Amino acid sequence: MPFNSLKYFLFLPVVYLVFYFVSERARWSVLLAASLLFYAALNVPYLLVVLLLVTITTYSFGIWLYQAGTSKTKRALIWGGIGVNLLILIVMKYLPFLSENLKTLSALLSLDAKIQPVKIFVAIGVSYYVFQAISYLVDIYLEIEKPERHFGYFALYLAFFPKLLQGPIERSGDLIPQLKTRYEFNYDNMRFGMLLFTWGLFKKVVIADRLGLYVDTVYNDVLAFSGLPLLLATYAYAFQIYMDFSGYTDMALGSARLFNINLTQNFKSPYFATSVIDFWRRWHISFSRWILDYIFKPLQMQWRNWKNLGTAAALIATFLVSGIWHGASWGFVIWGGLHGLYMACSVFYKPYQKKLHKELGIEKIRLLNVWQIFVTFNLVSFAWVFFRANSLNDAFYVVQNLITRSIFGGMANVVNMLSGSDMSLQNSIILCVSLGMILLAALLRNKVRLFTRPVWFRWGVYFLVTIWTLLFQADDLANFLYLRF
Amino acid sequence: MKVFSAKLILLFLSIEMLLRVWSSLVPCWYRQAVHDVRTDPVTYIFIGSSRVASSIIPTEFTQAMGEANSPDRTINMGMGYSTLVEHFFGLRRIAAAMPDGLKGVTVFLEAPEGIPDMAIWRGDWSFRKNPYLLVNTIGLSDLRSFWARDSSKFDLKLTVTAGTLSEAIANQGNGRILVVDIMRKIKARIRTWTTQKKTDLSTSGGIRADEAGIQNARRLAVSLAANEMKYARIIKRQSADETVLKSINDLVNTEGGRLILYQMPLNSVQKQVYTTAIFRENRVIAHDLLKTWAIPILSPNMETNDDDFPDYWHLRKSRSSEFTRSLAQAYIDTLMVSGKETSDRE
Repeated sequence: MPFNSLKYFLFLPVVYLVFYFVSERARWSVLLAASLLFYAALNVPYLLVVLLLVTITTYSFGIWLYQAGTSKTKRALIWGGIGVNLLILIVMKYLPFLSENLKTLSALLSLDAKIQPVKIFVAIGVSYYVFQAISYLVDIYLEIEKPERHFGYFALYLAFFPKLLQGPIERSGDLIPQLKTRYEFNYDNMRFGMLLFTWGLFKKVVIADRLGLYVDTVYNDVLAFSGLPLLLATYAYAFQIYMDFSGYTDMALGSARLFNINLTQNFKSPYFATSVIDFWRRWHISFSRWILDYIFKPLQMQWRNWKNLGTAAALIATFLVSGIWHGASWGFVIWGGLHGLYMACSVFYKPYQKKLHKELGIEKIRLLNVWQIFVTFNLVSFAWVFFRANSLNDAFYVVQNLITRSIFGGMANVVNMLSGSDMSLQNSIILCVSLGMILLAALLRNKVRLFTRPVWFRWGVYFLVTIWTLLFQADDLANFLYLRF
Repeated sequence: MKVFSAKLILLFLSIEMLLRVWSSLVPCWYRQAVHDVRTDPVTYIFIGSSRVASSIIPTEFTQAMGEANSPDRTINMGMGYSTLVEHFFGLRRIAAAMPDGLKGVTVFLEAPEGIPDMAIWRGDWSFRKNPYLLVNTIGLSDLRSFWARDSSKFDLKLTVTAGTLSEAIANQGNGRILVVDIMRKIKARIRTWTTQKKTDLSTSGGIRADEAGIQNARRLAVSLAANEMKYARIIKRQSADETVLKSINDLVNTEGGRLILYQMPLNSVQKQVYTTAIFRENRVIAHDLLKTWAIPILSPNMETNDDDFPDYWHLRKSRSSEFTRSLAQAYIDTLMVSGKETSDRE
């Protein structure tokens, strides 16, 4: 069930109350049952089977790996464990994509291969817990962690409901000890958790879903636009995906905090990054750490003899995998490839850039910082075109038509879109005010420590955020419905 | 834990109270109509979809029906994505709010190509995409029947139930109403930079008059027409007593009013659906049932063509007045000339 649904608003307090009132020994089972129920609420029965399969396989391989005597056996087991998990992921997520491309390839080669269409499976959450499973096995192989013997805690580690569908991707060493820690009611965690949840909900339903209305208008019919509307829709998408994903993460972190579980912070103002490498230190942090530790570093080690070229190749390979992980389409692959290319290039030019800044004496100037943020944001937004476009043709059209000579014609199109109907104009107003609230919160975050403020101030903030979220959540039916008009 | 729980409950109760006050100051749809009829009763009520909202101008209808300075009042409750069930509960609320119930009131309902909506109670009580219209009209005492008879999914039932109990749920997204109100008040002072040609389409009842909305509506009309032709079923005569239409008729009659249907003009995309054998059969069955229930059906004297439906659904604004008046004339010619309606109203 999505976090922004009524079912979840009832599910979470019920789970918490049951969790709170049962004995300490039974608490893990309450959370596990709740997590399985949460997954079952998607109404896709085979997903539970997949989760069980990944859990049993990984648990077994983990124990065997730890008990393995020789390094040859260990190697066989680690590749076996990774192989089984990857196979499950490929079957669930990539078979239709592979089959489609095989068909295209056979047509190109004039082969008469009869490739049957493959059923598309729903694979919600599978990428996340499979990656968690792989990291668990690799950590045991590298002797960083010991296997978890208690099957219940291990199952809960994979299935914990706040992070089950969209992460963060947690390391076993971070999460399992927290799951085992004795629970004691913590007022600050409860308060912070609920506020974080509400803030995440605000970002998702008021801002992200509303930005989506504009983005969808353009990206679902790109051929009808050129120039400024395409550019603004691309920027809007950059913020939509950030608000959507970080909003979801805030809700996940907030939910987990009620149970005194601290999940990994997944975002740290990514659009303030001064380089693409910096961007990946701030965006989807749990995922970027995963690909850094389990793909990039091993490849870089393997290709160390190629020096910078080896590092560049490792970066490109890593981010191609990242693109594929995000989705089974060439758009995602190109998106990942672009990021890999950005970072690969920086391996070569970075030393010279640093030297140049030093010689010019501008390395500490604020304007340079602003310029770097601007460039990085545009590079990232450019890559988002391939991520969002409905097809490669659409993506290439957008890229070719982002900048046109007729900026005023484009301006008129944008004004029409934003104000052409009462619905558009009121959405634009609500969006501007809401983005202003986000900006204010970001600027004042360190100066105004909310929980140290007087009660009237704190309650005022709680009220404002809750009421604003309730009254101004975007509704796609708002395109067709005014209750009063 | 006790202190935290108490504070949390206090916070939610405060929000709930605030939103109850909000909802009483800014009522919507039937709740607004109920608020108004307490002091200013109505004579004619139009119910139905957004097609009704766009094609009927209440003041024009009142003028066409009566003399100048007549105390009669018309309201148009047409709404996009509304169902007959919602209109049933809404009419019940209006009847309860007026001093004499629906005595002397005429309720008009659209019947495209002469076939009214024959939805039964054991179906979907609201459109999946907007359960809040049902929340607007249903009462707490109806929840048991709702859970027993409505065929929607659990999520939707939960939303409707929660919305009926809590204004915080019922008012989700309603802040837009306030923003649009403020926007309209200052709109005259804002210089419009748009170069968009104004479309000849009303925005009543949730209709989108912008270009993207019109294109969406057209696509929806084409796909829905195709679906209706593919999945159409013959009306079951034995289920006639279970229809919401019959319930509306019984409610209106019991409260002293009268239900009348009228032909709603359609674009050719939608009209083609009614030329199929199943719909021709359904027209015959519907007419028999309407005769049994003594529900007259009016045919306004107005020709339309496809150009009159910019988005394939709704009659364009510039012809609404003409349609409203032609409907009023049809009412006068068919029912009032016989003296039947006149004596009823007296």
